[in-house]
Amino acid sequence: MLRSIHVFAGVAVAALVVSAPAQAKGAAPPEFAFEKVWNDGPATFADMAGKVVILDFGQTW
Amino acid sequence: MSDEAEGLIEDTFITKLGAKYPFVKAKGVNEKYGIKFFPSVYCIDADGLVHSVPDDRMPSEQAIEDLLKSVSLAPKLPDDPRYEPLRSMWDKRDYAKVRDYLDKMLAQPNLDAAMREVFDAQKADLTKRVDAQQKRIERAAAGPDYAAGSDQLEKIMKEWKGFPPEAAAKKELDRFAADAAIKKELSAGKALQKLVASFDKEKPAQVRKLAVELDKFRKKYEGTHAAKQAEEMIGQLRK
Repeated sequence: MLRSIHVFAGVAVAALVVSAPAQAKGAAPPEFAFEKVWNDGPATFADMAGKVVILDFGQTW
Repeated sequence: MSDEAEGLIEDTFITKLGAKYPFVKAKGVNEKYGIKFFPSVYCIDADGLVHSVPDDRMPSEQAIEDLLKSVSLAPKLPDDPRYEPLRSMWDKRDYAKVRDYLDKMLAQPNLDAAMREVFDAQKADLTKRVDAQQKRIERAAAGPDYAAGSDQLEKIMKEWKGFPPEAAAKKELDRFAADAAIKKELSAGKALQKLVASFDKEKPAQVRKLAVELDKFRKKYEGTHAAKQAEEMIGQLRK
């Protein structure tokens, strides 16, 4: 069973304009809907439960 | 922009960069996570809590290994004490014992139907994991980081003793040992691992010394992949 997941979330520049405070250590991260997933991986946020997850936020320039 | 990103993501990250890890498009996730710069990395632990935030940068390999220790390796099992021995075997990565135990249980003609269903699923999961090792072996054996590849292959051999991946991993390690170019890379890679491990990267003075030593390393092992890695590390340390 895969124990860790490296998820790369591609998002929009416009989203930077209004940002919520960064998530605090030790807090539960907010869930989000997966619009599309490439490569083998979780289909939903809930599928990552019990695993170590690296959320790598990137940008397509 | 976010809607067009699907094609852009696919073209940039999947096709051109060849990302092999799960890649998600999720609208509005930047706002939710308060992302201020790219790339930003959050690490979530197995309890579902934020372990590190973007300002911490990417967690070290050791930190991730430590987090992984708390993750159960067992496939989903019913919350029933009858499955505890099996869960324990999975968690110890004792796959040969898992296989033997499942075979023994499934050979019992009077096995409870619900348990049979669970054990059948476990057996299928084990087979899937064995099959997955082949890709792991191919990746580890492909280079150019033969030192890391060699570590991976040795790990696979140990973990999958008595299964086909053991022989497949050994075959690749034998190939490494017989190829002069790979041996050179391997030697340089191991030397780099040793060098990096001998410095405490939490201490600024040690980081500065490490950068100096990496520069010497880069010159000494010029032309190897390890030298390129050393150069990249120098760039990261001096940021």
